[in-house]
Amino acid sequence: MIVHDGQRRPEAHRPTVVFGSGFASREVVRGLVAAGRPVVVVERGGREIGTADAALSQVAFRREAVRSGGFDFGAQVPPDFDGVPRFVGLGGTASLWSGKWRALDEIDMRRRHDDRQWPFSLDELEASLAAVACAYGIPSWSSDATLEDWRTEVEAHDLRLIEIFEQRPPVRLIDQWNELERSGLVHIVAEAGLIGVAHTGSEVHRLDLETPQGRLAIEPRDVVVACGGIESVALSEHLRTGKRGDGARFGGYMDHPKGIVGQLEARRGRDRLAHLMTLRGQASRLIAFALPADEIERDGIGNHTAFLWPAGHDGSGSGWQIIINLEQFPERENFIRLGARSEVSWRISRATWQDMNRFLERLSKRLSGLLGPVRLESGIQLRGASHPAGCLPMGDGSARQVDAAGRVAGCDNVYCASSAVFPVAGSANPTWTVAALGHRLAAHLGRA
Amino acid sequence: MQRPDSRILIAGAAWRVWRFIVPALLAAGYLRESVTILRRSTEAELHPGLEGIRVVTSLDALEGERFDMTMNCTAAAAMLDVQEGLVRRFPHARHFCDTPTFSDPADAVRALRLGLKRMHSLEDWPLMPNLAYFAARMRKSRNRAELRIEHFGILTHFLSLYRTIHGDWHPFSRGLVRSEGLVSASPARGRSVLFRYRKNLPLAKLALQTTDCLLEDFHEVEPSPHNDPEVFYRVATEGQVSYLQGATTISSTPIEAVWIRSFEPFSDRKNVHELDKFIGLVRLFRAIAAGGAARPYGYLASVRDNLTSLKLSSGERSLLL
Repeated sequence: MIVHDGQRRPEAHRPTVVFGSGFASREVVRGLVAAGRPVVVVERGGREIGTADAALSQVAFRREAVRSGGFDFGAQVPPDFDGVPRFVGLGGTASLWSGKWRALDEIDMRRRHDDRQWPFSLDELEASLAAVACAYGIPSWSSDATLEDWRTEVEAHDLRLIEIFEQRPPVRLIDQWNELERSGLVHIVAEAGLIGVAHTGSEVHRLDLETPQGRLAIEPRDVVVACGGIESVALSEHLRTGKRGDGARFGGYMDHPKGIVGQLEARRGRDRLAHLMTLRGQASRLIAFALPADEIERDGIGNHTAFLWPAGHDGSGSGWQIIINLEQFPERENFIRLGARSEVSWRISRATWQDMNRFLERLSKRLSGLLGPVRLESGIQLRGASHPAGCLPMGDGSARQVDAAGRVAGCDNVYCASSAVFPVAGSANPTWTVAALGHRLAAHLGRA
Repeated sequence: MQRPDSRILIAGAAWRVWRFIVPALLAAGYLRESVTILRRSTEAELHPGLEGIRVVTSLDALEGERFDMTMNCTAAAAMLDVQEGLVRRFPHARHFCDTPTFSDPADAVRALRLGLKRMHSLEDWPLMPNLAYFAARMRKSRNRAELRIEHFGILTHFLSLYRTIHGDWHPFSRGLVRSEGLVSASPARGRSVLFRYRKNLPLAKLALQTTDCLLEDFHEVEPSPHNDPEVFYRVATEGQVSYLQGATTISSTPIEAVWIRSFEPFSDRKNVHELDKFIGLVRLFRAIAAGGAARPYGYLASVRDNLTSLKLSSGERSLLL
């Protein structure tokens, strides 16, 4: 199926080559297998977690560290991966965590920043989001009566209640990949790197890979890049131009700056807060707060999210920490520079700090009214949340963009499904949206 | 450039001396022949950077000689003994000493006594061009301002900067609080200073936030200027190191390329941090050589920084002593 012998095969016999093995990749492959298509999955790391993977997982950074905020907040991961922002190896980031499932909000899909905007609405992504929810057991929206009562009260205080499915234990994709391999249509090539690309017109017609077993040539039908918000940019450029490491700069890098911003002393609604902990323990639901969509749209505030975390272990006390995930708007000075090892130059600008302060001013007043006094921290420390996004934004498919189908500009058979294509990133954990993009792309490729 | 004719005695020959002190003296125009090194023995090999410099192993070998400046960079255990010897032997010299580190109260008394002499500290943080600029911006700020100094390690460095910002005997803002890896100074007039002391130079940075600006230094050295006004950085060219905020040059120091190159690669924040220290020392030594208004950090202030650091390490709060 994969050895190139110089013969041009009929399209139907050529595999789709998928780079990466995380959630988006798995959704693409799952859809293609269902359509009876052969697939080759190329993974840069190994099939098991190892120190080589830990080294590959490090990201070169210039300004703020590109590392996970999750570790700073107690995420349990293998010791070798302390502080790394992603996982290179079979299963992708799922091997570190896949904890929080929340789709981007409608306002995120609607919002426009300069020339950036999602080319489709949340409604158009809904079927893919539902398919992913079904695949990973994400329950449908809350039917919890206590929570619904509370939602009304929260909305009366001009806040929005956000529900997040927190999967525990997290899904590790290894079993799913083994199952897909058993279909006979999927071939996984681990510890493999792209070393050569040949084009015919605007199509990639041959890929050369270096693997532990030697060089491998593949004649692809389509190529899908689904290896995260950083590496996808470098690989897409490599596939488009046939080379990498040219110092090209891709702006608009975004993350979700994350940090402890204050303390809440709950004087009211303590039974509700205790109920939240029950929901978290029994139904794997996390609750967070945001400002109303029409307000943030009207006032141009980011769609930030505030989580309440018990200062004690079980939430029985009155002290709660307020932790935020900020929406960061795309900025030219936050970028990825390609090279032998791509480098991320990222910082949190004054504009983002100011936006956070506007949000906190409103949030603290409203949370105080709802639950009790809020004390904002004086020296807020923000760090990356390991949600890199935005350097290959979806749009009209013009230079350095991908089109609404996910096709990389200038290449008719190269597609990207990762957070790199987010034109606007909101503050939702990106996994669900990324997986839905993979599902949507599989439907597109399966029809073709 | 006119060569300064001062004679300098350096006590110690370890990293601090060959990495910073001697190169900074040479870059400032002093000649190797003007420098004498006093070290305990000649058994250990001298660093190649110190070749051509006269070496002696005891103060007695310098009987009848005159030195204009002494610089004490010996190890903590010997530092006070050596300094007392230098002050006694060369009463008219200008004495510099590294920040003393001690835990014995008797040593504190000796150090405080020395502080009453004509002595300066070799503490370099208040001299570093980036820190000096941030400190000046902080000092001049009329309203809320927060300066963060992250992951540089040693607390006495921070205390020297804090003392520089707020003045030696400022009646306000002197309370320091230590908690969870952080030392913070009590805000006064809306100002605060935070020092995250866990040393991790790859993550080290400075950030100053006021009501109308954000300025950050990630220890970048660029080949040419850019125009991001929120970033403080350096441009190193053949023969000059400039410090800039966005497109605005804050200061420039002519330095021979050979010295600049000795701190490469600049992708490592530790190297850039050391370049900043070096530039600060060069400026100081040039000012002294020119007979201008050199303003080294006070030795007595360094002793008090050490005492404050000791107090903070045994408790959560201390005044800036």
